[in-house]
Amino acid sequence: MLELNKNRAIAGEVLSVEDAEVLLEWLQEHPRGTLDLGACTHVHSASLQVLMATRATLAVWPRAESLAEWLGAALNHPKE
Amino acid sequence: MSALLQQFLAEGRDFLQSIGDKLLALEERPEDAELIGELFRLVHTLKGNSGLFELPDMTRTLHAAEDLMDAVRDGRASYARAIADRLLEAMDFVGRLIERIEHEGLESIEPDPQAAPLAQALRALIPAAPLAHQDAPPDSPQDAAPDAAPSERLSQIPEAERMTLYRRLATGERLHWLRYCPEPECFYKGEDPFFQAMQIPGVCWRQVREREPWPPLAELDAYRCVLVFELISTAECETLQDHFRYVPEQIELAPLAASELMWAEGESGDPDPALIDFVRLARERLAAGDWATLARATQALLELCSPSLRQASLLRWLHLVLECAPAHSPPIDPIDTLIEQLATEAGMSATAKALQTPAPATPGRTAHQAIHSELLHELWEAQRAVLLLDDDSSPWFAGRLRASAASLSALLDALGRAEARPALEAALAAALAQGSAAPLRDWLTAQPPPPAPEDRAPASAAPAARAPAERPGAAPGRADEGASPSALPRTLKIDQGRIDGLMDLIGEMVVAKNALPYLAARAERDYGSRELAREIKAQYAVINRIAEDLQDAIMQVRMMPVSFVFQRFPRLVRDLAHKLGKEVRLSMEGEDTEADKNVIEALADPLIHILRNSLDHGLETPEERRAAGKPATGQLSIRARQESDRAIIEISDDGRGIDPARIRRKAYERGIIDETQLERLSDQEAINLVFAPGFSTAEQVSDLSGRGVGMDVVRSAIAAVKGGIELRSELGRGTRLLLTLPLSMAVTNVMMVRAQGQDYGIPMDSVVETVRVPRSAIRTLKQRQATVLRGRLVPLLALNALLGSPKPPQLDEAEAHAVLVVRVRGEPLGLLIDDFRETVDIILKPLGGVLETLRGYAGTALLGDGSVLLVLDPEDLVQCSN
Amino acid sequence: MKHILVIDDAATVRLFHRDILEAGGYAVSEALNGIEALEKSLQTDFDLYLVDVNMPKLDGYGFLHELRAREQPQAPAIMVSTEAGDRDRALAYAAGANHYLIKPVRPEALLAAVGLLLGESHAP
Repeated sequence: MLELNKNRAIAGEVLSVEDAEVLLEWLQEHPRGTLDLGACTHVHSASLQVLMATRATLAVWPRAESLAEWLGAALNHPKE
Repeated sequence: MSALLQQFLAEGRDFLQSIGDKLLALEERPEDAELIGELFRLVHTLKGNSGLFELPDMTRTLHAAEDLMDAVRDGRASYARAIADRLLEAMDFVGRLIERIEHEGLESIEPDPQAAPLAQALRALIPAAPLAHQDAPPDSPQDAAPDAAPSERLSQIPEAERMTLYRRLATGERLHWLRYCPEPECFYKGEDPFFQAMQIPGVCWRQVREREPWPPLAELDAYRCVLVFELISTAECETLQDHFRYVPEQIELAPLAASELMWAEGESGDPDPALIDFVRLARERLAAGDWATLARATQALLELCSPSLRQASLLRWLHLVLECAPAHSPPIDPIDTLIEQLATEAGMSATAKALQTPAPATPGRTAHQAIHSELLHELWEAQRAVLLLDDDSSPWFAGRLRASAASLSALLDALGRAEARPALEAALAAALAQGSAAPLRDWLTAQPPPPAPEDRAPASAAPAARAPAERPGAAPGRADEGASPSALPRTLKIDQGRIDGLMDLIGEMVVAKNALPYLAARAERDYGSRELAREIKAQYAVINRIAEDLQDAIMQVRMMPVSFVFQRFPRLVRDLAHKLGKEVRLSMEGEDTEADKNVIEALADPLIHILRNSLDHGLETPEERRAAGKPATGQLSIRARQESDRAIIEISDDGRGIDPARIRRKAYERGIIDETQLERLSDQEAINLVFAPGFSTAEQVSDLSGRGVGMDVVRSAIAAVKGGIELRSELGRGTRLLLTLPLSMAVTNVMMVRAQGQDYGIPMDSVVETVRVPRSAIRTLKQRQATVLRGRLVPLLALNALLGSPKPPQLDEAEAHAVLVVRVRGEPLGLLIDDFRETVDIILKPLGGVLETLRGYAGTALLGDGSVLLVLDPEDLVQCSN
Repeated sequence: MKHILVIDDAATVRLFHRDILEAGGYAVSEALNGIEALEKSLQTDFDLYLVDVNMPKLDGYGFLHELRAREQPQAPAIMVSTEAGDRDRALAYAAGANHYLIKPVRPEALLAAVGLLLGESHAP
């Protein structure tokens, strides 16, 4: 589940392999858009690549600690 | 500038030159394994040299280059233009550093921002190695010395994290570093590497990055995986391997060593007098084993200096190492290294310091006593490790035992326990008699181990009986004259350079003596004194004889027996045969046959290649042999003998032989021969095709003999020392290779011949005979000339034509041609010349300068009358005219 | 004076080792590769060998194999390598080395090991 608004993309429990393309398109159209991964427990590698390549801003970090830690390492800034 | 630095710069320039040449050669022959191996060795050695100085940028760049060449050598990376480009770029950088040191000194070298990207660019070309270093167990913090530069895999970890990891290692925890590079298409196989990575247990540091820079978003392919995961885990090696059991080739796994974590961050600061004082104090306290003071001083200086400086980082590490260590036995190595790195920061040269370090036995100076007793332990245990090795039947087994016993005996002396030596000697004798290390092991177990570092006796208790045989004033390097006059060895050790110098002098003398016959001729012709001419000739004969004797004497000094090369073969043949599942009996004869040192040394590689070929392709498996009605065990024999002035080496096997039909077909497929040749070639000519460049490739490449080196390389290696090679083979019966080698190389005997009104020299090695052939006996076949000599058709070529002149060769009064029959590629060939002249001894000098590339010439020689003789290389001449 | 043969294909390394050993009061000879070292060791009874691993013609392992296969007194040998792994160390021991040092060697570590392997007593 991926909910796309004007300025924010809100992910469901999983940011899946299919979401990668959708997310990439949305981030290209909304360069200032931010993400809400609060409910997210897993990000598929393909979507992770999109987050890394677009240097996406996470407005809300995953509450799942392990994922937050790994995302922090991937996006090169510590979880907030 | 120190002599060591000068040596480094000079050698460094040579190495860079060779590396450049080899890289270019590799463009032509990208598969040449020998070349790749040589290139690796050069880079490796240069890196090692740079490590002797404080040149982190140079060492780091060369290290990356070395790793890349290693990957090429292993076949992990295949040689490509990009690799050559990066390597040349890196070598240029190293070259600039060398120039800079040469002109402005070592002190002028500052961290160069170019270095890191260069090293990275090199490393980017290395594909990940699966399970690298898997078998290397981690160092304990105890014996780990910190690295000057971060290892590539840990360079991203900030200091604070590394210190945390160090603490964990110091408590005895085992950590592993892991890199996971999923393949680009993995998403299509339903894999999710990020999920896989997140499931790894015990992760205490991690990093996720992209393998290559991200493209513009419009071109980003989200479904091509470029992720790389790197992490450090507390899990055991097996657990991690098991986690990736389906994709083992995609991970690199290595135990994490404390030493890898310990490198300093930050910028170098201005020279700091406080730091110099600290280093002096620290060296002293280290020697004295006064850890508490060292720790306090470290803490004090830390508070004084800016935390962003490199020296602060080093001090933090020093503090941490002292803090983590058990109170009485901190690890000496890392502490010492950290202090020396601080010395470098303080501008105190590490190398200079190193060389000023007092010898262990110099009285009156503090020595590293703790190091000493630790080392004593280590050496003692090393001998135990040697003795614990399985008994084997290797030829060096007994020697290994003897060396180990000699080492133990020395350690007993050092310990002041000389009284234990007779028992040791008895144990050695028993061990040698039984062919087993057991008696020595038992002796060692019964011995009290050397005192451990903590409880060792006061140093003054040890008897100071160093080197009793030492004579005051004995010059270094002349030790054999001194030791015991009763057993003076009757051999004299002479530097090879001196022999070579003597050799050159003799060469000049041979040429000078050749002037005498000219002088005699002039005396008679110009001065009309036949008497004087006769006397000069008589003198010439005397001088000639002396010169020849002298030459022989020098040659004798340089002579070496072929056994020097042969002695490796039994082992080699045994191992290879074993590996190939073949049964082979090797017989060797004439091992004491001698030849010049250069010849013998040049022989090793070709012979090994020939043996490998025989084992790999010649000899059949026992089953095949039985099926062919042969004994299961194949025969391989190497015979050496001397025939007049040549050494002959014959290598023969009774294997399957060479099938001329197959060779013809292969040569045709590879474009080495055309269709007409395919039909016309005799069997022997076909067999000789294995020497053609480019012939022995694919099909010969196997695990053993196939390093891409073919018989053409063997042939040119033999030709380089003026040797010849002849191959005879009978299908189903075996193969025989005959190497003919000159005994010496310095003086060449040439026959002078006349063509186009000029004299040329032809080496006697290649001359078969001289004949006069009546014009009527020359036949023309398909526009080629030939004649029949002793029932054999010999092709004829005019030397004029080979030298590019249209003039026909002259006939003598009897309407006959002078024909010099030479051997080219093992086959006779008649050269039509104008006339024969005398033979003469010359010193051959290769063509230099712009003439170097000229084909067909072996070189030039100075004649007695001062004129220059062009010496031809018939083989090359014929080849390049084709 | 004890006589040590330094075997290394790099002239810089040979000089570095020579400087250290001569400063320690030893006589030093040099060889450029295993073949040359074997040859020299036939002519002179060295008291100790300092052996590089990677050399053209005949490497350090090959040299040790040949040396140890001879019927002559066997002097201790120290192998000097760039590889720090236990596997390389074990290989060196199996080939006939008696000690193993990592390049670049630290002068005091080299001198201390040489001294002990030559039976010289502890540091005063």
